[in-house]
Amino acid sequence: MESRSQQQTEAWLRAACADADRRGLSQLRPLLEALARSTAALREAERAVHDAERVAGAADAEAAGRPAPGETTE
Amino acid sequence: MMTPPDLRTIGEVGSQIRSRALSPVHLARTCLERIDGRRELNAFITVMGPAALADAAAAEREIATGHYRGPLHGIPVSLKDLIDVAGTPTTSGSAVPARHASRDAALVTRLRDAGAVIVGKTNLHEFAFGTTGEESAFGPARHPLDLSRSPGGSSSGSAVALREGMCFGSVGTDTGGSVRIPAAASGIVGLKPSIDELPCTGIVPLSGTLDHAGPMARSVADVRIMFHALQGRTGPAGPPGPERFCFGVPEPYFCERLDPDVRRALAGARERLAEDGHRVRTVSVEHAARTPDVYLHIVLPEASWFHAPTLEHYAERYSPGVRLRLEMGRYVLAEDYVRAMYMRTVLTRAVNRALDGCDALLLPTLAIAAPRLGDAMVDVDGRQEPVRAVMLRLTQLFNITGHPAIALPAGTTRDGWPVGVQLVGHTGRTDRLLDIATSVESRLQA
Repeated sequence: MESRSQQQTEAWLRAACADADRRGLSQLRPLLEALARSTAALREAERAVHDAERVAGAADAEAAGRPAPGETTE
Repeated sequence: MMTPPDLRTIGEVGSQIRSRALSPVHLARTCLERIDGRRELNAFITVMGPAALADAAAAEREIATGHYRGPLHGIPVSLKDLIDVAGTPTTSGSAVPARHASRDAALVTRLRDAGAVIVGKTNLHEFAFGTTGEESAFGPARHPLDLSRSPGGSSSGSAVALREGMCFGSVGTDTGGSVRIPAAASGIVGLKPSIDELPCTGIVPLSGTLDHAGPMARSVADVRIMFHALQGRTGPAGPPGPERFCFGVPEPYFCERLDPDVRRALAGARERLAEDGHRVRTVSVEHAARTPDVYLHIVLPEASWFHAPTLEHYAERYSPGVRLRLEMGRYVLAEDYVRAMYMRTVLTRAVNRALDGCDALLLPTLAIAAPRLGDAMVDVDGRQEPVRAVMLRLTQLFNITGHPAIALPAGTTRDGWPVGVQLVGHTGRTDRLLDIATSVESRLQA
């Protein structure tokens, strides 16, 4: 089964390709497909970092001055 | 018959200029003749002949009256044509209308203050958005060893000019490796300092948070002279004393896919440094494999943002490949840009950890030798890969993290193509990196 992130990436790619076609830039399609793969990898990498940080007590996220996604701050 | 190129170092000709044994006018004229004599290399977009001769004559008069400014006084240098010089067009290697600067870039002011003589502005990959130099509205700069090959890019003309004795130093820009890649492909030295160490005011940006300006020359000592002048520092730098260093070789990711001759050169460098009593150990940079993804999601939107107004009016004047990359950047989502910036902090900490206990990282600069112009794919140890991705692979991480990095020659392939190694130092310690590079250079040249 596809993850929500994969579905989002595919929806983004469809919309981006349609927009590029509309603008007469159909040569962009292979580049956008490569970008979509790279975006999926970037998102996966960030998730992996956050998973590791949660295990380690999220110390690194604090050092970066940014709450982990989904964390609430008061 | 063409005279052989003057490949002496800044140190060598500088001391002769100081003692008035060598005329800056003669030196500038020699460089200009060399530029004119090898036009087929396409190294320069704008040659500033009359201005250079006038500046050289002024330097000569000044030195004759006892006012010697320092090691760059009267020395011919060149600038990548992204860098503003008052009164000359900044073409960026593009057919898009050039910028006409009314003032010098900050770095040009510093070079002039040091007494350097600017002979011209060098060819480049259009808007610095490529690694080969082949997408230039002025035609590609060509490798002096074989005109069908790229000298590396994007600061391609600067590398050719140095290799061919058309100047003694040059200033390039490096957003993903554009100083270090041509240095490796052309057999010269190129420094990307720590991030924000040199001002980029008056330089056409590619990616505002990844751009670095950096000096290129034929030796580490010359790069140091250029670097100090670009920082506005005066006074001679003391030579580094003999010292034993610790090098970390990041094998995972950086050494996995290399041309066999590049791998051999790295192994040779590693062995010779160990023989000299330096410590060499294997290290790893966590998450390094994600470098291209992080890089792409930063460079694309930042470049697209800068070019958005020009793309509206002059889209057809860009090289097709550069235009498509700029258009691609318009589709990166804001959340992915922020995500990449977050991963940037993660990668920066990872490089710091790899450097922990080491003086520098030691790795190849470029996984392949100079590629053929026009090739989209290249064979890397039996596997076909995109040229652009291969050429950026070993350098772009240090633009993301801001660590200083220097490329220096490490011999040649069996076919005689230059191969380079890269040293990466601790952030803010570029002078220390230059000390280390001096030591490595002397060992690799021995």
